[in-house]
Amino acid sequence: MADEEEVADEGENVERVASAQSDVGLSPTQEKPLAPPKYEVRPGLGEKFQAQNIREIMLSTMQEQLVGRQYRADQAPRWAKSISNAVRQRVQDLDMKRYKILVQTTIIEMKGAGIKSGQRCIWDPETDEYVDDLYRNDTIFCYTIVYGIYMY
Amino acid sequence: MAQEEDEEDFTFNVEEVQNIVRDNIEFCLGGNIYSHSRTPQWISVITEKTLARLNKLNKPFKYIMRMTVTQKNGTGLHTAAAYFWDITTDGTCTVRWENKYMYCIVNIWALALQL
Repeated sequence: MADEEEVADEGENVERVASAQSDVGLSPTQEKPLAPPKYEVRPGLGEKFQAQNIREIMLSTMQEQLVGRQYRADQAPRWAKSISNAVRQRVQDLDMKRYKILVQTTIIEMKGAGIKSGQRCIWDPETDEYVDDLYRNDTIFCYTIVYGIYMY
Repeated sequence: MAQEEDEEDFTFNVEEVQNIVRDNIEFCLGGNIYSHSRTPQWISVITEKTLARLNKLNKPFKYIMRMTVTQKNGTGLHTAAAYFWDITTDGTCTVRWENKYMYCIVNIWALALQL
């Protein structure tokens, strides 16, 4: 049947995963064989998005990087990159199956500028979630948000 | 061929999305001054309009849209992002827009539904 042929083809596709390492520079994309489709539309018990753990990861990463530091325009981009890479790596280590992870870090100088931020998503609210957190000191305001999107 | 049409439908067209976003921002923020009270409303309007139009494109994607509006003040703002996804099907689109009084940064992420 035509349907069975399509299933067999998808099983042979290779998933290309890009992960950038902050201290070694960009590593080439790694190819991993994709698992055959299982048609699971909901995460199982124990496989749900671990919001609380991720929040602790974000807070500890931001504090490690930024505690005791003053805002510096030449170093802030590096801090932002290393925070988001570190958070992404540690969230990957939690090994939540079938979740795609997006991390975004924003570092702002505390200078009295007004700033407003908003977001909207079109996704499945039963499986997809986000966690955000912020870190403040006298000169730096750092906001990190992590999205977890379930892959059907 | 039917297959070529399918491939076009399944990719994330960055330029098209950028145009949609820019139109909506121009329409809403145009020549306005940064206002602490009106900005949340502008953000709601722009995000809702943009997502409605993205939805109408009828592509098999989940969308996340984030928008930040900052007053022009000389303050520094840096953003970095890291992803763990499938780079052949998922995509991101960023639009930066400014006028005399404010900066506006819009991020759109599209994650493919496996079909």
